[in-house]
Order: sequence, then structure tokens, then C-alpha cells
Amino acid sequence: MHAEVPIRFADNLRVEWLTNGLPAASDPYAVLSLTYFRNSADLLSSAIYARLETTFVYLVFKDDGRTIRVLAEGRVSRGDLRQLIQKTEHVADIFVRAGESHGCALESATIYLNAGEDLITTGCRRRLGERLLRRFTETIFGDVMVGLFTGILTGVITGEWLAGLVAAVASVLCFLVWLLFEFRGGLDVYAYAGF
Amino acid sequence: MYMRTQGFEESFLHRLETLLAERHPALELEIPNSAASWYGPQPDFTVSNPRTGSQIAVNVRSGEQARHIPLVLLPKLRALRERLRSTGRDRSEVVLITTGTVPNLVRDGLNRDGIPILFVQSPEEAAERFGERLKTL
Repeated sequence: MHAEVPIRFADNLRVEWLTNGLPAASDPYAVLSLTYFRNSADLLSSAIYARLETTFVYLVFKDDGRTIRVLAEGRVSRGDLRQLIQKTEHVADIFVRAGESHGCALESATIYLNAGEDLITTGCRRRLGERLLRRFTETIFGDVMVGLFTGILTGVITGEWLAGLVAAVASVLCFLVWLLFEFRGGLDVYAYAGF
Repeated sequence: MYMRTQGFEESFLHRLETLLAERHPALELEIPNSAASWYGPQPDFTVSNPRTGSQIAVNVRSGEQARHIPLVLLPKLRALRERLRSTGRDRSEVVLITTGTVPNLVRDGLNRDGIPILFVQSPEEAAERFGERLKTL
């Protein structure tokens, strides 16, 4: 299994912005030879960084002025999808932050998980605002509307419209608190498709 | 360019195969079955000329599939061509037909290997442009 992460920025970026401050690079040829792409040595002409770790290898290629591609693969437990995802997200975040720290806004970053030539799933990097909006639109009827109707029904049944208003506001607040619990994992995360 | 219509990939492939079968009745169009994958990478379909023994293996990336052309397509298409040629069909070719944008890394690699990429918008355009290659098959 391997992961490919095209990371696209809004502006052109320099290679040294991404690679400065990283651990010493490994020999790209040696790294590539450990991956599924061992017979595609010509890819190395675009490699800007390679790293050989104990359980994990990754290479970074520059595709065009605004796009880099991270290629990551496990060295041991090659079928461990969870480890591959965790490591790949970590590596991708390093390069996303490096670009952003030089004023290049991130346009998109998507993790493509493959078993050989077959795609398993994809994970899109979503910002907190996008996630909140998506979560809100997905559950507006399930959560927010239920809260509002709770307030209306409370008002209708008891005749106490103030109590109804309090119930509605309390329900919506509970929903917002619940959202905070859901988002405690981090501000920007990768959302994986279930197809 | 890609289409988000549900089932676009399926209808694209079906239409392309239908057009090729109509316009080139002397050629054989074959879709490999899943068991064939034991022998290595497989194309979406092959078109062969039973008279000359030549064949073209076609990989199609349309619709949602064309939103991301993966790097893995490079070793796959190379391995596919090697496998076809190892069977004694030296004139075997591999072609990529896509409605999307191919990353520079993949495009440069395929260009280096002489594996053609046909950028198309519709099955009709694909059939027309691919049909030119079939005339010499």
C-alpha cells in the first residue's frame, strides 16, 4: 500500500521554503527502490526531498510551480492502513505548514490511499470553517431544527413562551458544545470518503 | 475537464466501445476479466487486429476518475506495455485516454516512454482520435 498526496498552493513556491529545517535527506534512489515505484527512476528528476525512516519512507516531488506530490509507503507492516494514514498526514502537514509559513495559501491537499494500482479511499484536508459549515448543513434538521421545535412545542404545550425560548436556545447551545467535542481532534483534519 | 454526472465513467466507456465496434468491425475489442489481473496490470480494453496480430491496450480515465490521475499510472502503463510485448506482440501499444488533466510527472514519464495520451472531452472525440491509430493497426 502507498499514499499519494498532491498538495496545491495558491502561489508559486520555492523548493528551499519546503525543505529548509527538515532532517537530513536520504538518498532518493535508495528510497525509491524501496517503494512500489522502484522501476520508475525517472521520477527522481523531479524529487526535492526523500526520507528513509525505520518503518516508513517518503519522497516529495515538485510537479509544477504550485504543486508538490508526497509519495509515502510503509517499510514494515506494509498493510497497516492506520499507520500509513497517520504517518502520511503528519508528513503532508509538515509541507503544508512550510508553504503557509512563507505566505503561500493552501489550495488543496488530498491523500489518495492505494493498494498497488487500485485506489482504496481519499482524504481531503478540511479547515475548521469548512468542517463546521459541512457539519451544520448535514445535520441542520437533525440537531438545530429539533432544538427549535422543542422550544416551539414547549411554548405551545405550557403556554410559557419564555420557557420555550430558553429550551430552544439551550438545545442549540448543547449542539454547539457537542460540535466542540467533535472538533477537539484538531483544527484542520483529513476527512476520508466512504464512497 | 471532468464531468460529475453519476455514472459518467461507465457511460463514457460504454459509448466509446460501441463507437469503436461500429466503426471498426474488422477489429476485435476485448475487455479483460478480473482473473486476468493475476498476470499483471490490465487495460480497460484492448483492440486487436486478428490479421496482423497487432494490438492496442487502452486505459480510460474519465469523469470523477479523471480528477486525479495517480502517479501509479506511470509504472502501471509501463508494466502493461512490457507484458504485452513479452507475449511476442512487438507492435503492441498502450494508450491513455483521459478527460482530465495529467500531472506533469506522469505526462513527462509517458512522453519519455512514447506512450500517447489522448486528451478528449467526449466519447465521440475519443473514438475519432483513437480511430486514427486503429487505421494502422
